[in-house]
Amino acid sequence: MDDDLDRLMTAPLLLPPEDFVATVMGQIAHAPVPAAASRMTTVLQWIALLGFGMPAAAELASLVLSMWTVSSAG
Amino acid sequence: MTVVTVRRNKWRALAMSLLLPGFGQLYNGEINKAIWLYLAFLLLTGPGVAAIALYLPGGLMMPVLVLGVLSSLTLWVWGAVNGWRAARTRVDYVPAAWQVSGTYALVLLVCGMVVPPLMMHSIRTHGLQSFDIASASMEPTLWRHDLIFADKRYNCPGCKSVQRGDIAIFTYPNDRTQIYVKRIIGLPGDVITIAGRGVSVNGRSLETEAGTEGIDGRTWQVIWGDRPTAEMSATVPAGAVFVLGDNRSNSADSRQFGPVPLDDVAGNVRQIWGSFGDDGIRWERLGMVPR
Repeated sequence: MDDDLDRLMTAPLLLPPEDFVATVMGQIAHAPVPAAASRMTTVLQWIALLGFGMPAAAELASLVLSMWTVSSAG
Repeated sequence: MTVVTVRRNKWRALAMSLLLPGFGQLYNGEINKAIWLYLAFLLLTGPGVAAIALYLPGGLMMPVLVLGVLSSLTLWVWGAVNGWRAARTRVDYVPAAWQVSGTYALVLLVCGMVVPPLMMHSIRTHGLQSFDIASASMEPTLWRHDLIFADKRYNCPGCKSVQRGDIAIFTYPNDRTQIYVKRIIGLPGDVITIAGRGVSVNGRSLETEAGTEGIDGRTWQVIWGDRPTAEMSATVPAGAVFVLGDNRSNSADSRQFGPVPLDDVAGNVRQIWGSFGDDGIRWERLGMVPR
């Protein structure tokens, strides 16, 4: 057993193959890449959000006040 | 394969939450929280609070509904702040496949523009509706420009039945676009007699003392002015009710337009929640339960 250990200690170190890094990185499926939105896209997104959202918010406000909205009774 | 990450925009999350409760959470990917927030808001705003208010005594209706409005607004604001704060922590966020503009547009359309109007219509038709008293025909019980809550769970299967002495909301028979509010005096089959300043139902006078009438354990005040009232006697037909305004000399009621079909009786007055006179708000009338 001592002989085996001596042989291992004197053996050259194991070296990874040259393409090790590329191989490992290639196996990583999810490499996060930050998305960059253009200014125009951002503006359009805001316009769409407010365009659709304002009528929806108005409907919700009407619902909140629905029981307080009066009709006329003679 | 690469995955695109984005930073969640906290201001967009805030704006989305302000436009629709839970919408900011949806943007942040918290779909479960988004759904529960939206449902809790709907419940607090509409059917939940209406159901509680309708099952409580009339005097508690207004405070419960005020509490409902305040709670729903608080939840709305809390949701917006929560969405804003959660978006700040999402720096490298991986959007889910469903987080696309089409989904957001569909959610806004359904949850913002379809569900609320349907719910509002349902509450006002089958639950609770407010009315502004437009005439003096029900004085001294209801004054002109009293704002009242009417219980719409009235005169329908499983609802409170129509009784003599109720203050009812109904469709005016001669113009179905108008809503009238009067007191139910006679039920189908009752014989109504009006002579001088006296009203009798099935031969029993309603007058208990001067200016006060009563029937079936209920009493209310009436006004007979100087104007003479036509004498009449009539039997209320099946499927109809006989209604009178408490202000007998200043009221268009069954004496003029005849009995009202029961199918047109749609609500029962529960509480006064606002009142406006020439001098502004009549504070003393707020919260009153008309008898």
